[in-house]
Amino acid sequence: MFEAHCGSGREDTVKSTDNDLQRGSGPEELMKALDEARVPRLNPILTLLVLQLLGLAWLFLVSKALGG
Amino acid sequence: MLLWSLVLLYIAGLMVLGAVLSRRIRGVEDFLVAGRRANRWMISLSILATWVGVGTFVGGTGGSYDLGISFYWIHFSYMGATAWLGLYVIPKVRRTGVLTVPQLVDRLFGARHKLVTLILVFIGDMGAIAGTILASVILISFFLGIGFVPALMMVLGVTIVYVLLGGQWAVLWTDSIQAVMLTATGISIFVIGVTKLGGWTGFTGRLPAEMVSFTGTLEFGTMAGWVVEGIVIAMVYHALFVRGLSARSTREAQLGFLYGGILCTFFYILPHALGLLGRASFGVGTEPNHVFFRLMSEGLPVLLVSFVLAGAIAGAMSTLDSALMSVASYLTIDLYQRHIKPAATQGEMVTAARVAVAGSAILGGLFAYALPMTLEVFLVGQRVLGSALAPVLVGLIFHRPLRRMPATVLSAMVAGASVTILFTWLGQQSAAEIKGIAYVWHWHPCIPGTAATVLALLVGARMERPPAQPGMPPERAGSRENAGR
Repeated sequence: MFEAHCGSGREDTVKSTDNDLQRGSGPEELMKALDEARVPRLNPILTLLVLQLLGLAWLFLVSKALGG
Repeated sequence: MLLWSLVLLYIAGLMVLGAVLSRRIRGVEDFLVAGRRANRWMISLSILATWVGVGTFVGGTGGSYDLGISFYWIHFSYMGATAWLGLYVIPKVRRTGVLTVPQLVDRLFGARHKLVTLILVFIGDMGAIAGTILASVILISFFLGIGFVPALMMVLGVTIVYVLLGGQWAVLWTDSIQAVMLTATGISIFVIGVTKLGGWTGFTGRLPAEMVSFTGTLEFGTMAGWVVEGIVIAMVYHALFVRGLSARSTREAQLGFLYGGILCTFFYILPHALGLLGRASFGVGTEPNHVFFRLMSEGLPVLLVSFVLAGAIAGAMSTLDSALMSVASYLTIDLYQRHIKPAATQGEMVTAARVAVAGSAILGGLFAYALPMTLEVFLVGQRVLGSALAPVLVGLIFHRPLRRMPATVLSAMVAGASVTILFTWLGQQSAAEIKGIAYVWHWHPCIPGTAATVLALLVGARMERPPAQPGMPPERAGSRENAGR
């Protein structure tokens, strides 16, 4: 899934150099970088919900195992 | 004697590891983000070690001893939000090449916004540092039978030395080891305790029905507040960002966070299971914060207590070292390099980062020792940070027009922080506290605080006129600083 949606990721890593750290890049370059980064195509809100439900499901299972 | 020997052996191991890893430090990125070369396993295990500290075991065990397994509601949302952060936010932050969140805000909007972000993040981190120091000192002085000050010196001395030497490399390596030790520690206590009670049936048979219920005696408002609090705090927990920036690639960061988040979700049940074990073993009447110590000290063989103690110290130090590296990153990048010495060499930057680590550790120790009442302020600070910054950060990452609305962003942060502080204060006046969190009309302060930030963003986005030139915030257009770039 990640290979398909995000590529290997190596090409996404921008390594800062001395110059980057000292000079910094302007807001436009930064905004461009934010937009260019590849993230999963799944809806972020839906993903957050599913991850939260995973925790609740785990609690539910433990509660049942304890006799709740 | 055995206790001392094993603890000292463990501490010596940390020092040696720090010294060995110090050879990898050649520049500021090596020190702050491990040269961006960490793999997914180091990231996931260090996330586990960062989230799980002594406070987790003492507080989680005590809470579940009191309220039952439903107290897990206070913890699970952090873990899902951690995995989400790694999947959606870290790739974007990595792409920009920044090293800190305040640096990201600085480059978008300038120094004023950065200062507000810096203050919020610093207060949150100091809460983690001072709170962890205090919990570890209490633990060490209790088991080793030494005074508060010697225990404080021990914790600060060891942590400062290995973090100063090995930087983020030392933190990642020791965290990975400490995560394994913590897991072994928790499982050992639980298995031995359940066996002593006559097995699973003997254990569960001693628990009242409300202790094993999914929601227990909790009200909806309490559970909703805990979930919101976990999500917003995890989304702006700066130590996690540093982990994400330390990964060797974006994919490794994403998988590290995903594995780490899922691992934490399952692991975090342990302190709560121990709370139930305490209830089944001791019945009612024990001070909740002492349950974990009682489980450790009563009935376990000395050899196991030694390992458990080393594991608990490991937990404390892994949380502490992460917070120290987090503070060092933004003090070095956003204060030292940005305002004090813009042309600093790599060597000077590493020195500045080491000074920041030592300074913030000592400051945290002083707060824990001399001003314990400030701890509450810092802990509230984490809620203020989460409520005020998380919606803004998510908005900046995902909603392009917001990046050109400096007034909206600043006012949203101020509004969210103010409302969270106001509701905390009102809650304290009404003395409606549940597990240290002040409530007003059953409202956790993070709920109105986060709502105020979101509302301010929505209103501001309708009112603020974007600048004529795309990508140029009005306040920065034409400024000398901007012209120089």
